[in-house]
Amino acid sequence: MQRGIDTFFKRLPAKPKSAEDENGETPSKAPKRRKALIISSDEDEVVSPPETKKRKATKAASSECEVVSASEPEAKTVGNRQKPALSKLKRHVDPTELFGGETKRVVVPKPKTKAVLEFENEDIDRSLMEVDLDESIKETAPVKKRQSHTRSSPSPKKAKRSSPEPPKPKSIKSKATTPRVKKEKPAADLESSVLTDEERHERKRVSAVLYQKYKNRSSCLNPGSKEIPKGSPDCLSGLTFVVTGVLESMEREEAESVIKEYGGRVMTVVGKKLKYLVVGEEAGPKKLAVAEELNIPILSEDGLFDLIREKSGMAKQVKEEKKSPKEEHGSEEKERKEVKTSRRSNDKKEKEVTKHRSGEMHDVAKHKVKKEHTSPKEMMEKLNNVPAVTLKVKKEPSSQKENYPSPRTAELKTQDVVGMAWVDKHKPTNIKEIVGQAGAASNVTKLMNWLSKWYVNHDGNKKPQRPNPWAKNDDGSFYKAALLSGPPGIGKTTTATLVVKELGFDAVEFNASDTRSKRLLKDEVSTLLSNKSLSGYFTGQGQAVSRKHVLIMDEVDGMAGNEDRGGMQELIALIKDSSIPIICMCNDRNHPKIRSLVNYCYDLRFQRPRLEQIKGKIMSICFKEKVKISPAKVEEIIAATNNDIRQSINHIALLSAKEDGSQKSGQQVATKDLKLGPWEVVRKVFTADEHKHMTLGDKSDLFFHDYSLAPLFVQQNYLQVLPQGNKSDVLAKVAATADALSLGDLVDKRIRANSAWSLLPTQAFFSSVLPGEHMCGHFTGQINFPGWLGKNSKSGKRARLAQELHDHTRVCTSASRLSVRLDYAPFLLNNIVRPLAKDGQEGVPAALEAMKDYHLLREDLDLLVELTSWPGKKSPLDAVDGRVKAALTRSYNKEVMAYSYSAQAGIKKKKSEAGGADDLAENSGEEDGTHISSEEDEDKDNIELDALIKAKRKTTTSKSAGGSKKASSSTASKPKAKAKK
Amino acid sequence: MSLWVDKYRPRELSKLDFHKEQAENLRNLCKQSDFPHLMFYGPSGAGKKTRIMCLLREMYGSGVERLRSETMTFTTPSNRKVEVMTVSSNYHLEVNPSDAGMYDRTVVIDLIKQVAQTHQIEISGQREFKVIVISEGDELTKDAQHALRRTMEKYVATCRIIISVNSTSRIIPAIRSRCLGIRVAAPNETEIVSILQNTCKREGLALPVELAKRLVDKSERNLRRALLMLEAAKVAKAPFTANQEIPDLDWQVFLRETASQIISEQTPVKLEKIRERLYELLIQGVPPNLIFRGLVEQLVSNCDMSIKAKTLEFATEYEHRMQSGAKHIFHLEAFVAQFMNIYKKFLSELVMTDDF
Repeated sequence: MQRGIDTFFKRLPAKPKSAEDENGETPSKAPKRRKALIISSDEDEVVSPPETKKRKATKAASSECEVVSASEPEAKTVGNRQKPALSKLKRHVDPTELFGGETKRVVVPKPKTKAVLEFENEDIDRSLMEVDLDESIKETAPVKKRQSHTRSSPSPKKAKRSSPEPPKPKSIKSKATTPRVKKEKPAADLESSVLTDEERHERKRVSAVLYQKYKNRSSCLNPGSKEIPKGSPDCLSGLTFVVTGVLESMEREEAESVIKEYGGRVMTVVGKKLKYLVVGEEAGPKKLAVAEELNIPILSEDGLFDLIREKSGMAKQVKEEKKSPKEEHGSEEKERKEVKTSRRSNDKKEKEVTKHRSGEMHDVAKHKVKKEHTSPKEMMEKLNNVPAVTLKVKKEPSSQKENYPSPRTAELKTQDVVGMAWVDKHKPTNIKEIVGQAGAASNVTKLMNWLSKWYVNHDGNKKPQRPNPWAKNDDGSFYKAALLSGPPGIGKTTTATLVVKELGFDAVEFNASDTRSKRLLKDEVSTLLSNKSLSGYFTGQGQAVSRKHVLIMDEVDGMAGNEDRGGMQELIALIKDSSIPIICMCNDRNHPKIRSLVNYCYDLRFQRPRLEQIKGKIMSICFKEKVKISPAKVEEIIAATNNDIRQSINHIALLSAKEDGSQKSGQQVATKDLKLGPWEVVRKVFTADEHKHMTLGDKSDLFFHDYSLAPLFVQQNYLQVLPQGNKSDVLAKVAATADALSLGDLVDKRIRANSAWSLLPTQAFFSSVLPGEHMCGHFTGQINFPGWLGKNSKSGKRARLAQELHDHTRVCTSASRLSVRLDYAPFLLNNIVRPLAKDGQEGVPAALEAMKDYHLLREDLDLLVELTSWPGKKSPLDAVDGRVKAALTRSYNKEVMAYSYSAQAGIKKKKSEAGGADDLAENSGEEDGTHISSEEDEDKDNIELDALIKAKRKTTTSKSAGGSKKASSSTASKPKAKAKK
Repeated sequence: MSLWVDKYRPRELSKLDFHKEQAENLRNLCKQSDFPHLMFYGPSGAGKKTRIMCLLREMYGSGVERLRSETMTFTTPSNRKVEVMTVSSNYHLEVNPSDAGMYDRTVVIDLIKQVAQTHQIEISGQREFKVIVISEGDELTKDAQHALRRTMEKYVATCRIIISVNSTSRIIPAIRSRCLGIRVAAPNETEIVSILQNTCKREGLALPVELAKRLVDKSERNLRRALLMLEAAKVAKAPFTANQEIPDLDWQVFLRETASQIISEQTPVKLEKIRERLYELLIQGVPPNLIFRGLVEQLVSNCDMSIKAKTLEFATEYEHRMQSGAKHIFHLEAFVAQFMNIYKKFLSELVMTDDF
């Protein structure tokens, strides 16, 4: 596509070209820029057959370049220039390398900083120069010519193209830089329009990948391995430096601050004024190239140190130093120097016309590099220690990508490094760096094994057995998903992402910030998972198209609320027939929601790393960040955060922020407010060791971890404590504690009854602090859960049973609930059970009679037994034969009619209906008779009684009345409602 | 085959065995057309309820003995359903609002007011008012009592309220002043002995006076308990002998053992075991003040004079706290701990003085 468009452009301008060319010499800058754009097309013409082929081959790559340039107007010119360069280079050199070099260039201009503007100007200048220089420079002649060509040719086209645009005439008229800029933009728009969305998208992706790579670049290799020399204060004054790449012993910021400390100036862009370029590994090739172009000395880290020593009058320590990189390029440099010198002279001429010298230099450098692209390349390779990725990158299409980051780094670094949180800045970049996951049995290793074997295990050919849940060395081959669980801040997510990266999978991640409802999971994720990833294609990582995805479901325990409804079930369904590995992460493995998920997951539990493990990491961060902090303090912080790495780092960052202000304030470590479980609380309350470092406030705070449970726990467990001091005083202390607890209970009552929550601190003292003071010592036994809760509910249950019993017997006894329970119950039970135990089957009628007398249900018998049971006492019913009991139940069901409360007992209903149905007629008749005769004033029953009657009738009808025998005895009351009408 | 307690319960005022003068007064009261609200108070097992039923029978005739029990459902302001069992005849309604626990106020307002507001349609019966019997009135919350007092005044024309309480101390003065208090004291020893002997006579048994007196002691002049024990004793050994064993109530035995354990050993470990026993008693529904009383009686009788006063002081202190506190066990345990402390101290001092 692009190509076509390019060619189109080319043709158009072709005619006016010549005319413009002459004009081109004239200072109109705008046209020149267009030229740059057209150059490529020009070259296409010239070299058309090879170019096109090559383009096709590397279409993706080149398109990226173009898109980049297009998307940002300023970049455009550069991009254009690259194209020509490409073609030129092709002739001399292997295209792949060319591309590599080129792309680097391409990206540099991206940012809209001044530097970019300068480039443009330079371009123009350059083009002017080049026209002049064409003949003068022999070696570069072909290149130059072409450039001049290109320059000249596009200018007319530019004019044409931009003719409709208002700014154009201006630019032609005046050399002013401002109009130029304006012009560029429209041009860029035009260009960008040329690109399809797809291409743009691809480019974005690629650049994102590259940026990621940049971000993941290892920090300095051996922090602190070298001693930073102490020079005289201003030994570097007046010198300018650019630091690039990863230095051996310092972070870049460190290096920069060292330079600044000694009066040096740190720049971000390699320019003419630059005095030294300090390089480390993975240095930006662009910078190197430019530096060489400008003949700027290149220093290694050691070189920098030597320089400091030298300038401050100290003897050099190491000699090897800086030259090394230079030497590599020695031969080429010579050539370049020649060119440079000649150019410089030209430059000077032009100076009056254009003041943007530095920019020009850049430009020159760029061209140089294009020509000699090989040199930076090689250099880079040498410098690159990070193997896997970069090596792959060398492959043809990918080379560009590799080059992207280098120019960017310059800008990115300055911004990101400053603004990044330490937690992100010091994030592990490979699995080795994950704290506490080094061992062979670590979760990382397990996860890697599982993931790497996943496709083998789940290729559909074999059916792995579900492992024994207690098996020790399960490798999780059965499971299609893994569940990483553990407290926050210990690196679960990091582990997952790094492992995935390490194995070259593509991760699709969903976390709590995404809606994960059933529908979404079903639709989006499942389609997503059947996709093929093109990222391999772009990154050039071996296989062009990868099918190796991993779905990472982060924070699955956060699946909650309306948005995520059904998400968990869907996730499980997804896991069941997933064709890709799924990694889930959660904090609380025992959460009810997670529990169902656990069955389908390879369970990897993350423990908090030990203090020493975290300490190592934190100390190295401290060093890198130049935070001076004592190891003891670090330990304290880590302990305070309860071994939460993330939070520890945050604390360190906080400390460092206020460090300069006052060292003293730094001393006070912010402690993580942990929610302690009641067990832990009660242990702290009584343990003497814990008391040493606690203030009164701390002690009372213990109570507030759970103010409703704490007093119960204290009361339950204070007797387990062996207090310090004289043994004979123990009882006195116990008594004092019990007294305090008793007072605490009074306060508690007040709080609950009157909602006087402001009294809580008072209760804290009585219920927690004072007992802690009295019984300060150590635990001799296990800490138990408060028995009060269980006992209380048990006594509540018994009370309910007693009330039920009371209700049932109420009609025929006079006792209150309490007396029924304490006095009546045992005798009543005896009265019923005795005949059964004594006479067996023959005793049944007697027992039944007793039950009927007191209107008891069959269930009440069991209830009586429970109410009268005491620990260590046998239930009287045990002595009764089972068959006798069954006989009792049978005859009870046959004879005894329902009472009004039988329905509540919820049983019996049917039976009584069956048994009592035939009796009903007589009963009601009989009762009616007695009623009418004896009570005529029944009619007087009030309306309120009607309600009662109604209710009664309901129960009677449903239940069938009975109990005529009660009615007959005058003493006994009528158990059931009669059909009283 | 009812228990003797119920079998031989007197049903008419004239048949009551003790406080006969009072019974006569009540009968006179009934003869008038009207009488005020009544409050029967006295210890458990003294015959309050029996007396109330006799009174009702005196007023309305045998109709009041045709009882039926009903479960009534109330909805509290917080939309909770509360079920309360009532026993009623055509003339009276007996309810125990404290069954509803903290919602007794709802019961008072809904049920009692409703009954009280409705007039008897036909006054040809004996009375133009109905009677509401509130049992266990001292369990009523303050709220319920306040709700009750207005009702009592306002509907005095259509209903009378008879409250049965153990102690008037927990009844607010406003209600106390609205009621005619009738004290039903526990029968004295001779009265109980004669009742027990009468009962035995009707059962065809002979009861030695000594045994009857021991029953009186054991039952703490609780007539109900005495009768129940008598029957249990009869089951244990049919022809009574003067010194036959009287089976104890389980909870009393348990409580006694607990007290003796406190005396036997004073260590935190023991205290923990005591705590378990106290829990058991509470679970069994033994009221904590009874536990206090039982413990104190046993402890005081088993310890030296010098610490008796201190023990009682602690007991009163912690019993008071228990009444205003929420968790009984805390205060019971604190009392036991304090007692153990002073007792242990006393013992060690004793040992020291002995050494000298």
